Amino acid sequence: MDDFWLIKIDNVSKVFKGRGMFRNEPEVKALDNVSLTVKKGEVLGIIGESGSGKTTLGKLILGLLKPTSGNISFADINNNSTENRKPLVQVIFQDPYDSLSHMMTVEQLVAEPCIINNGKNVDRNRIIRALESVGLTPVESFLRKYPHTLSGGQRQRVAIARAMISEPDMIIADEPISMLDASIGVDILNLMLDMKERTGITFLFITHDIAAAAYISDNIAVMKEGKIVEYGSRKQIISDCCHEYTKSLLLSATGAGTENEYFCSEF
Amino acid sequence: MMSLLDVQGLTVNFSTKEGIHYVLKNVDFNINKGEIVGLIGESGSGKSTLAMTILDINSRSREMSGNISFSGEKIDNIKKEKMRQLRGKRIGFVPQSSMNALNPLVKIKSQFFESIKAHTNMSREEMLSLTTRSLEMVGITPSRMNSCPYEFSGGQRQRIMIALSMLLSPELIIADEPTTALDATVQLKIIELLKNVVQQKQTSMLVISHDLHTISKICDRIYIMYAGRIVETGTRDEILNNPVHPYTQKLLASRLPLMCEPVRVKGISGTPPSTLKKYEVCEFMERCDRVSEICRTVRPPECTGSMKVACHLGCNLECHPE
Repeated sequence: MDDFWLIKIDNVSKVFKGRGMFRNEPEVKALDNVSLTVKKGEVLGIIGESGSGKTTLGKLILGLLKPTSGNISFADINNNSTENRKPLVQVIFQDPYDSLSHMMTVEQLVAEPCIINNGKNVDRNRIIRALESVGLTPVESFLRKYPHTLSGGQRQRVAIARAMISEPDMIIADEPISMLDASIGVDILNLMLDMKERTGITFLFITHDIAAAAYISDNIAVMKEGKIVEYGSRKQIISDCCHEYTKSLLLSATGAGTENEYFCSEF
Repeated sequence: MMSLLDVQGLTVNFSTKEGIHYVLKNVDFNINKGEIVGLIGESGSGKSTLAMTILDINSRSREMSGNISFSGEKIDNIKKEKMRQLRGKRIGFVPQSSMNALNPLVKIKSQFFESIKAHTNMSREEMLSLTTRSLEMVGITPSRMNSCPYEFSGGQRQRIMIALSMLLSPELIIADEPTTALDATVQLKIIELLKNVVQQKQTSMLVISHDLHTISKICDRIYIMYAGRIVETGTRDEILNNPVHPYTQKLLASRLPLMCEPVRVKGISGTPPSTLKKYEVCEFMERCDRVSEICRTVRPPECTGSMKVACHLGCNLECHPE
């Protein structure tokens, strides 16, 4: 499988310098010698509590931040053309209430990435197809709506359509369901699984919820204090994890023993 | 036993530019002494409106009917000043996104003193010892009371907020989404903390959440709310093991299992109903997959009195057990 890597992260560290008013704030080591390989077509889940550096990792891959040391390399992709290209990476942010501009209609929001990439002329059918693929039907009734008239789940679907329209090779989903109701979050996860099956897109799924990560990911990396403390397939992480921290996460997801029968009955 | 809080036939509408929002519809609801009651529903179902109506902090452009009584006294339509005395002293409130509810630039100590001063005439020493005790109860080192809220983490701020709502030993605490936006491990700690605090102080609590699974761990009784209506009520075990209303069943089924083999869980399809529309039949009909002929014509029974499920299905089960 090693030939099919998409992104390789080699010994990456990220230090945020204290740049306070009095120049005496301590440095924060957000990432500490992290190495990780994202394989093509997988869903890689990254779990960790707040402050463990999982969002920083996502931002480094997106190029929104520069690593202090180490390398992030992207594979060459050759799609029946003579020229190789680098993978396109898109992002879905945590909060669908803040990540969509209030002043733009759904049509403008979804068209925006196309306009930035390909210039003014956007194929309207492409927008309609993107909205259809995320389940916002009938599309005509959504095109002219503004985000504030949509529910949280619908907004997150718009955010996904926006990420999908430029046909990226990889999507970084940073806590896409943490702001949504449990029942709606499941629908969003199912949508992501459908997309993966249909288009073979690679997902980097960042979350603090081990149940959500286990539901959708093929492989899982557990982060704590800027380090990856455990990495393995879904099965390894859930059924025989070694690290104490992973165990405590699993325990909190299963309800500290009260509903353990749920959990045990599967193995 | 007399209930501490008793809400009967509460209907709340808000008139706005877009029209009238029908937010709460004939809600019957009660909390007994020493009980933890959960109120579960999706966003927009009116859970927070119910809490705010009890506390009377959403009176702008509101029309309401029905009765709310708190330990035997009617508290709907009482004077603003009287309500102020009730809030904080006898009813504590942990607001939604309570992480942001503290003033970020005022020391924790001053914020605690402020609410003590509003209700009692304590001396400085007494206030200090009360603050110390309540911070200790939630596991915050009392010496940090001179810090400002931004110096604490989200989970710590949430705990400070719980300490603040418990400060004057109110008889009832209303916690609006106390665990949302927290990490899974921290969520569990907060839930445990709420339970311990209620046991120690012998109060009652209303916990509002959209997450049935997390919150149900501490509840004695649960109300399920959908589109402004209570659709099912029962003890914790009744709701978890034997749900009758299709919405409750779907909520329970949308739990993410922790399994190694890939499985598919179904969420609840469709969109939440609009509050602007007045429904003549069941609000859940559009998303229900057990719709029968009777659902299209007759309103389901109201979840009031001895009726525990607002669904024709539940009624049939009770009347003609097969």
